[in-house]
Amino acid sequence: MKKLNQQEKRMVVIGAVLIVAIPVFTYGTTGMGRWSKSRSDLAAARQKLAGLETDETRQAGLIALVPVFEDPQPEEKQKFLFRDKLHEQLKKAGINTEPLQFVPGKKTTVAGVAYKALRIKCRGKCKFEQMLDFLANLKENPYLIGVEELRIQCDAKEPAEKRKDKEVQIDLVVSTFVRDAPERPAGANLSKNADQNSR
Amino acid sequence: MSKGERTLHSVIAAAKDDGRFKAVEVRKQDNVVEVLWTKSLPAENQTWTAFAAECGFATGPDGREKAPKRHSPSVVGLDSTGVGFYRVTAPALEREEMAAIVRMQAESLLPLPSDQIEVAWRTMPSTNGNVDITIAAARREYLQKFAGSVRNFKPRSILLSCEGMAKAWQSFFSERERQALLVSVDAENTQVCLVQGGLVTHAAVLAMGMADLHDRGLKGGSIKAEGLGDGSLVSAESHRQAALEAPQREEPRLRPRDDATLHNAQLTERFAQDMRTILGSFGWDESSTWPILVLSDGSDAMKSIVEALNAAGMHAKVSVPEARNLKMPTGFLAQDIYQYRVPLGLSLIALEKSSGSLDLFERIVQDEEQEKVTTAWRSVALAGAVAVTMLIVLLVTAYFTDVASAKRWSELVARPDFEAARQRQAMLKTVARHRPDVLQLLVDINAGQNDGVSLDSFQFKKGQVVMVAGQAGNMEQMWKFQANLIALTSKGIDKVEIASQAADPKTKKVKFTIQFQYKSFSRKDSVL
Repeated sequence: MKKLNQQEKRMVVIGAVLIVAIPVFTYGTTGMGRWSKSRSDLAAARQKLAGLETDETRQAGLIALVPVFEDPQPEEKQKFLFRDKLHEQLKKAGINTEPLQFVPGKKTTVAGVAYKALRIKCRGKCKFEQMLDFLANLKENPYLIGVEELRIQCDAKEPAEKRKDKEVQIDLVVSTFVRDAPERPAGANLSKNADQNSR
Repeated sequence: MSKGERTLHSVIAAAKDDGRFKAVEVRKQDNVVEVLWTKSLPAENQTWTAFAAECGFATGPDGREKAPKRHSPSVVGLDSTGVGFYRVTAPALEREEMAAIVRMQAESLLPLPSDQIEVAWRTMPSTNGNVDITIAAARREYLQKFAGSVRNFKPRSILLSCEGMAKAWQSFFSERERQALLVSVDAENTQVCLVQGGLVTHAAVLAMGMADLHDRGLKGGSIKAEGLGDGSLVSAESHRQAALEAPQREEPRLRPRDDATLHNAQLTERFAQDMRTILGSFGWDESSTWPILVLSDGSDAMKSIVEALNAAGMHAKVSVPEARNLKMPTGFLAQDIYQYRVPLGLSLIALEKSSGSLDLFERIVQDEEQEKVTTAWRSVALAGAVAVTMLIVLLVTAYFTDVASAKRWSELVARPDFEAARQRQAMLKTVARHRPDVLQLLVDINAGQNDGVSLDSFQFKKGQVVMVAGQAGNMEQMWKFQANLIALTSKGIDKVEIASQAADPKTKKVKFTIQFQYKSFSRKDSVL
């Protein structure tokens, strides 16, 4: 068999390189794209997982602060659930209050879900110990977000040693989350208003 | 083995001669040759490696120097018993053409295939525009083995021992002639060299040495030429044949030399006949005789040999060492010049950079260098291939790991229960962030030693500072209360300030209001 000369050998080598290079470039770029997508998917999944608390100490701290919690319901349901439970806790603590008042709050988003804060304002009189009992049990309210405002007022004219059995004036505002209903399309509102007007 | 053209001032030369390894270090300064040291080791049960270590060329088992040490360059002598010499006449031509002629002549003369033989040659002017070509030939395998055995010396060149001997004769012995036949009688054999103009133009080894002549002569036995076995005289041709076909024969046993004279007339006559045969093969004839010089340390045994040759009509003379041009170390005698004649001559050749030496190792060195380069390239290529393979494996592993992980993790986070758990935990975190522990705050405010202080009101409102109003018996009690609050930094109470203070004229007490920030709840953005 005739031996190849240098030029022919070079041609064979270049041909072999091209035979290898063409599939590498063709499928390599596809593979690179797939790899890149996998990496971005992985990064996104990791980011989601990172949001999940796995540290036991932190979880314990979280549970201590929020021992019970019910997922927020739509406003028409949640506000009564919250009010009733709060009223029950006030009664249990022996605190007499004036009628509870709802006060609307701000909108907020938690993990991509929209909520709206709803506050309840109450005013009343009770002994200081009753107030402390109420505050100690308040976190057992599964609809409570937190105390927004608390004002405790003694009778400043009474000497300190005579205040023990006297009542204090309290002003309390507590909050809950209600699930924020998606906004209806503008057309739907208009048609509803039109219906009402026609009636 | 040649490492560039560098002027040498000192050199270590080693050779195996007369049954011993011998080495000298020689320094040349201002045309004065000085012997720095000599070393000698019996060849029996010893190797070149051991002798190299003895001379300071210590190496590890892998052949690398244990601790790089500065020492002079070295040359090594190849025993001429494994080398055949030929002499041909050819027209004076260019070197390339001459090389072609030599190659053709060698192929026709040599008893082995040309690829198994290494050839070195040089020319000497002759008559009628012709040149005499001296060809030295040896088996390639023998040379490779020898080069391997002396590798520890890291020799700059490997020369023929007979050339070293001729050079030593020219420099350090008496009876210097332009053309002479040198005879060097060793224990086991006799080296015969035709030296013309300081160069060896023909050489042969007679397998009969001082020990054979002495021992067998005393016993009255016959002398047998080594390698032939028929008791006949050694001819130059038969020597060449024996040298090329069996170059690695058993080393001659070292026998003690003494100065006993030769008593057996038949023995000396046979020795003389052997010599005459060799001389005939060199082109010697009775009409134009060359001086025959027997190198000697001045012993009686050598004189007896010379007398025997003279009696056979060969006009031999003794050539003894002369230390005129040589500076010798203490204890180094003129007789030692004879003992170390071969390494001394080799060192002079190396120091003078004689270009006409017969270099049988040229191709072997080139091949070794080529092999080294090839090996280096092979190593680099192999390392590169391994690196590329590892890179590919790494990429493939990373790719499949990422794809598999992405698939597994994406499936995990896409599960409804995971999403619900995530939502719930996010909600709990949000609630915790917005839930102040007011009860704990009240406990903390009242925890300190607040003698004489009674609180009238407490006001907490997200987005505002916490306000505490009260009465104190005096200013110090109020300040103490403030200080206790300041100490509650770890509880989230910060920036404690007295907002107002006034003395009540009726009760004589100090009414005050203190404000402070509580965790992040005093910030505006904490309001829901």
